[in-house]
Amino acid sequence: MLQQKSLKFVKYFFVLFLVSILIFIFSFLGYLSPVEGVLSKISTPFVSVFNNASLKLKDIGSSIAELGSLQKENKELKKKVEELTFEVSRLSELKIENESLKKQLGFINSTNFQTVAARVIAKEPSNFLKIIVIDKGSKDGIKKNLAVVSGGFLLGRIQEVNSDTSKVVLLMDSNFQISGMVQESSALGLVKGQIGSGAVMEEISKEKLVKNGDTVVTSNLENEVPENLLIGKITDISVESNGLFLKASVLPFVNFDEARNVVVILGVK
Amino acid sequence: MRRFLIIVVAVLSLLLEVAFFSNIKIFGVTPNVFLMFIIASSFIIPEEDLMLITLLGALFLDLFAPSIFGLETMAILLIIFFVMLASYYVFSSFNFVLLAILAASSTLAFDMLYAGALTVSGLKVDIIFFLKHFIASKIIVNTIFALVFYAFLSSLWDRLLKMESRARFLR
Repeated sequence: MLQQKSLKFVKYFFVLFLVSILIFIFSFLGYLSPVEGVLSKISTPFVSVFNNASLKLKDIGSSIAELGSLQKENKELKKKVEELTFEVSRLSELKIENESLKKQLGFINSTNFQTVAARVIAKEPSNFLKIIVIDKGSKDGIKKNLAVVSGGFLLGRIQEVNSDTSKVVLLMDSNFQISGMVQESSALGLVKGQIGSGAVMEEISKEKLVKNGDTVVTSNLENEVPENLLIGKITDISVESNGLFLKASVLPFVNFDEARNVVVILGVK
Repeated sequence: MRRFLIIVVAVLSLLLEVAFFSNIKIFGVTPNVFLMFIIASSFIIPEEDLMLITLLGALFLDLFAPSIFGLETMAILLIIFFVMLASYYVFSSFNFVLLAILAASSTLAFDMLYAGALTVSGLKVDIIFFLKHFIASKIIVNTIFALVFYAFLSSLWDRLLKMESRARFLR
């Protein structure tokens, strides 16, 4: 059914656009942070439900895909596999979550860091950025630029903090950067995210011996991030276009898709 | 009853976009579910309701966007304004080709405006990478969503309208 249109919408548009401009200005000046915090808090439970549902569906999908290839290779086990499909899909989500929590717990116990465990509740939906939203905020002691780890590996840094939620810019995003060090040679450099190709370490001194397979960790030059957090492995080395420094492609250790429970490092005990 | 239906579908589309399709991507992209819902609804629901739902829904999306709060809302309001202008001045009656054209052009316009909003907010955006790898699939996926939304909403809307007039007649 097509609604009969009139030009009334022009009037509505200008009023509401003015409202949105005012919201933008107040937000830019920082007056709306408490309101944003309250709205995030209200919406978090609903968003979490949908987030969990999609993760469960994703796991079921991958379980089914795995079973499909097994069926091809093991025709004689087809019947057995079919019987187990339902059980596997039901248990896979629990298993992944359990493993992830074990890793986080192991990481927390094995370090001297003051940490806060958090859950990923949403991901930035556009394809422009790699940003996630976690369910912990300033109330839990989280501040901008703190390191976020998953499974013991650096996942990203806190980009924005509300009272109950925070946004984390991931290691593979082009807005991510951190001071890094090649563990084998102590060569320093700047690790930057690159959408589509992991990360790159720039400004490495040409005098340092750096090779493929070397491990990149965080350096002691960052105030908010502890040193020696594992970032990734060097996969390619080249000379920067200015000819003064070396540049290395870094393959992150962290599995971005598996990051559902994360740990924010508040500081050293 | 019809307003209630629209509000329910609007809320569902928001939750699907922010928390569902951000994990389960279709051809590698997250569809702009809410924007497509609004574009499909622009042919069905009254203007004042549409504008208000657009504002409130877009503000919700802004909560999860890394840009400054309010920028994504401005982008969505601008797009829906141009969609309504186009359907008022250019097209005399509804057809699915028109909806597909509006959905495709709105996808492109929204992504460019959103990239601009992120840049204004001080974030780096690789537009060339996005255009090379994602825009074609995003346009296709979004257009399908808009067509499905329209088919679903218009049939429900008509049914509810008939029910309401029957109830009025019986009274």
